[in-house]
Amino acid sequence: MRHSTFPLTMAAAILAAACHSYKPLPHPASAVGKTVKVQFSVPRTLVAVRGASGDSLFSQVSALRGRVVDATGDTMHVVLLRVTDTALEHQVPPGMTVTVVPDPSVAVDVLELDEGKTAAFAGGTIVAVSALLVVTLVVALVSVAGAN
Amino acid sequence: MKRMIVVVAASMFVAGCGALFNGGPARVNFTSTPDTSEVWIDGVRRGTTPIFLELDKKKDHTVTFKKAGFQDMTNPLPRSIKGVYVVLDVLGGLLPVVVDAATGSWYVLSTDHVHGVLQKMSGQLTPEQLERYKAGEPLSHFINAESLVAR
Repeated sequence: MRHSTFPLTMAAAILAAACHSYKPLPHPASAVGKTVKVQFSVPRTLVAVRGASGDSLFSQVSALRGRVVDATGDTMHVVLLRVTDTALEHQVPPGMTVTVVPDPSVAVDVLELDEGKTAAFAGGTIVAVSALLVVTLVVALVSVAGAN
Repeated sequence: MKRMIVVVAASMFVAGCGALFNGGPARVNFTSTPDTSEVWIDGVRRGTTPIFLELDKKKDHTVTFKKAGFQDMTNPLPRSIKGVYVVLDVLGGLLPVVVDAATGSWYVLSTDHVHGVLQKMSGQLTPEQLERYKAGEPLSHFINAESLVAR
């Protein structure tokens, strides 16, 4: 049973992921609790705070991904998930928070459900399943007619 | 049979989604040396470097960097067709091809990062140009006329 449902589960997971996409952030406050992707026009050094264990420096950061935990005015506090420097993307230890202030040299995108893609997927599903049903029906009718 | 349905359906989703992933304007990163240069897109000032700008990817653009004391730098920023979207649309059938061809969703800009290196003005004005400059004529008039005399 588990084996037979695996492809369906995988397909559902792929579709769910595909229906989400990064969109430009309209306002920092709307990103609280969501995953964001931040790009810096010019790589910069970031100071990440991690509770009582002190600060960590990330140099030459060109992009980061994280979850917004708080937003005050234009300032966002982001718990880091990944940091990209000029060479590679790195995972970071959990719990590190950086402060991000969007400006024209900082592009912030938020991961959200994409209504257009979702509608397209739903439409595609209906079309695909309908087409398969029609083909199956036609094949069955031809087989029955041939048998008679 | 169930597995086949999943595979076929997933293929159709991917094919239909190819152009969906390419929706909206293109975001381009503009930087320069030196920084704080003006960025002009198709003759319109859009800001100063470093800056991210969103551009229409369905048409070609012309980028100009300007900064006082430096020569303007102009470069084309052309569009191109991303073949993978065309292939996915063809696999998806006639409808995606028609829709994407009509909406221009196959296009991408040639780059997502433009860096301008501005050359400092090095030269001197002729006596006639110096008089015109003192009379209030902008320095850019002489630069555009390529009439600077090298030292």
